[in-house]
Amino acid sequence: MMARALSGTWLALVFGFMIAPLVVVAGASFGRGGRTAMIDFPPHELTWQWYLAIPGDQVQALALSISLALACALAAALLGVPAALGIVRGDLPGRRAIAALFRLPLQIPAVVVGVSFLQLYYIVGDVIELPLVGSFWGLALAHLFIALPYVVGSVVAILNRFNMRLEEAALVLGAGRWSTFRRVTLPVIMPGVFAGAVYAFMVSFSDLPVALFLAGQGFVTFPVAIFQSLDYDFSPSMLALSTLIIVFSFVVMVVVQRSIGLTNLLHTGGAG
Amino acid sequence: MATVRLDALEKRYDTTAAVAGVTLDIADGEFLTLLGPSGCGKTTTLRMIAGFIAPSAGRVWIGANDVTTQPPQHRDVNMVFQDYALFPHLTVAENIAFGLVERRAPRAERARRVAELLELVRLPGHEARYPSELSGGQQQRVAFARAIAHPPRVLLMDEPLGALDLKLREAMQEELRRLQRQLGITTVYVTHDQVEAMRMSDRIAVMNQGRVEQLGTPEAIYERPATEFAAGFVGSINFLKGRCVGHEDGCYIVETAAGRLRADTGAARIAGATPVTLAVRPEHLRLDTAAGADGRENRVDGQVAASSFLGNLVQLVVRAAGDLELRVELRAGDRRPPDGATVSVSWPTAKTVLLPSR
Ligand SMILES: Nc1ncnc2c1ncn2[C@@H]1O[C@H](COP(=O)(O)OP(=O)(O)OP(=O)(O)O)[C@@H](O)[C@H]1O
Ligand SMILES: [Mg+2]
Repeated sequence: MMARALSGTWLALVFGFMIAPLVVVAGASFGRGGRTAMIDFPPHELTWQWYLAIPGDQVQALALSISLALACALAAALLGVPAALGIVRGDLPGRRAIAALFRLPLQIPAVVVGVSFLQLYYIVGDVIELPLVGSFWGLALAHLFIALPYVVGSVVAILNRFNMRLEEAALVLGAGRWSTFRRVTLPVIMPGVFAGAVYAFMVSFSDLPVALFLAGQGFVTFPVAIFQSLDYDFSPSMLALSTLIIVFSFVVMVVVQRSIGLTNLLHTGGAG
Repeated sequence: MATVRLDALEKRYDTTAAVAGVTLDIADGEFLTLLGPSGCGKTTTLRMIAGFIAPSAGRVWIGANDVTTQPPQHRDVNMVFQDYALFPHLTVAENIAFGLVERRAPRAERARRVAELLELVRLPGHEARYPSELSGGQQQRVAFARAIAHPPRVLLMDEPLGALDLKLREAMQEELRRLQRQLGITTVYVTHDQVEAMRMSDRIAVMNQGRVEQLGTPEAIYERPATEFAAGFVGSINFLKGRCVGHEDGCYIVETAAGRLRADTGAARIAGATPVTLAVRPEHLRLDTAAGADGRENRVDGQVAASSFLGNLVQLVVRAAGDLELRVELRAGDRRPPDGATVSVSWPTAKTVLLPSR
């Protein structure tokens, strides 16, 4: 009885800690705004006004971040699956070294990645005479670099548990190599690919350090926009936009949990 | 349907030979079982027939074609795996129709075939289920239906019933055998369960250490084993070591610690005083005091060392001269001597098999 009450209290504390920042942001976004503090929490007077006053360039930054993250997730999935297949199934001599290489970006601080890409883009940009810094594809490539390990990691994990008999069964049923991959291997590892792509999306979407170096005039991602606005023209509509993102993320998370949770259920039962 | 021919098939891994030269001819429509202990090379042999493993030497023929270098998808064989390997992301109907889609069968024809197969394996109405929603026995049936949807020339099964409990396994043994007969598909079946092998097979290949020790019908292997290994692996048996000292009236004469014994059947070509082993099944041994030594009976005297009651029969261990132990099986109604009693054990020379000594 005692133990249950204790663990209940403990759970409530941890939950409170996890949700507190979100509550502050969401609460303050509905506040009229204090004279002294920038953040009005708890709000003295409720209002929608900041939601209506979200500046257009921030909405633009948000749109840019979302398309960047989508491009990054897609590219990471397209590159990550063959890479993972090579690591798990390939018979290359340097397989372990390659696998380690794919984990490397996780161990380098993001700021260092930002500086490195900045330098690289100056050199390469000179050669190919294209401005990579401050361009969509320049940043997408850098985000791909930090996001790829997540897809490779999750697909390697699911491939390591893959039952090879499934592919053999497809082969004796007359399916060729490609058909076997398309009809059996890919659908079975899809939850891993999907989970990795969702991670890749989040990594790109929430990245500040790399984008700070590679953003340019008129090319600003959402985290960079928030960061800059904190510096000089803070407005509570920032909080309103953040609240919308929190709600959106929550909805996405529930949907993903539902769909992945369900497929996982289908994949782990009995056969396989 | 087709014949299968394995010609001096070998598979070596570094130092060890998983399969060390297997030659087998399997007839059209035959149910042949590879039987042997764990690690004797059954799965490796089967997977070489399927084309999942390339042999180190030897050839695989299916019908009139040498398929040794063909990939599995071109061999027109199919396989039922021990863990069934049903596609977890597909429904029962989609699983069964997988190979039909690959062969571009029209949708209507696929649906008709799936319904027909589900009827055959007694699972109608389960089309829309996922494999994880089926019991082990049901998964087994779906795996079988999938394997025969487009009838293969050869059906391979690697311990397909190993994951089922005893009762279900026995039911499925009958079921699989019925379906195989009905369809007339040439089948190579792998098991390490001798009872299963005896019950299902037209012929059994007893394997040991990568080789076939004996190939024959279940009756032949049981009644006339060719090696000590085959004799010991199928059912229980008594071995008596000795030396073959002659051959008269179609009988081998063997000198053992328990005296001179005779054997009618022999797999060995005997020359001189060769070390041999006599083998006789416990159910052929009788206890009697009446002298039956008319030349057609072997006789050994000894003491009852132990006895146990097994319901339908009583098992005795009789210790004879030269530390020889004989297992005797009596029917439960027979007179049962007390432990320590001196008895005389006899059995027909016709049931005694002479084997080369290992
Ligand atoms: N890939 C491999 N590399 C090395 N040795 C192997 C390999 N595959 C099998 N072997 C060896 O070959 C032998 C035969 O293996 P196989 O799987 O054919 O046995 P089995 O008769 O099917 O046994 P079980 O009844 O346990 O399934 C075993 O000793 C095994 O250790
Ligand atoms: Mg095996």
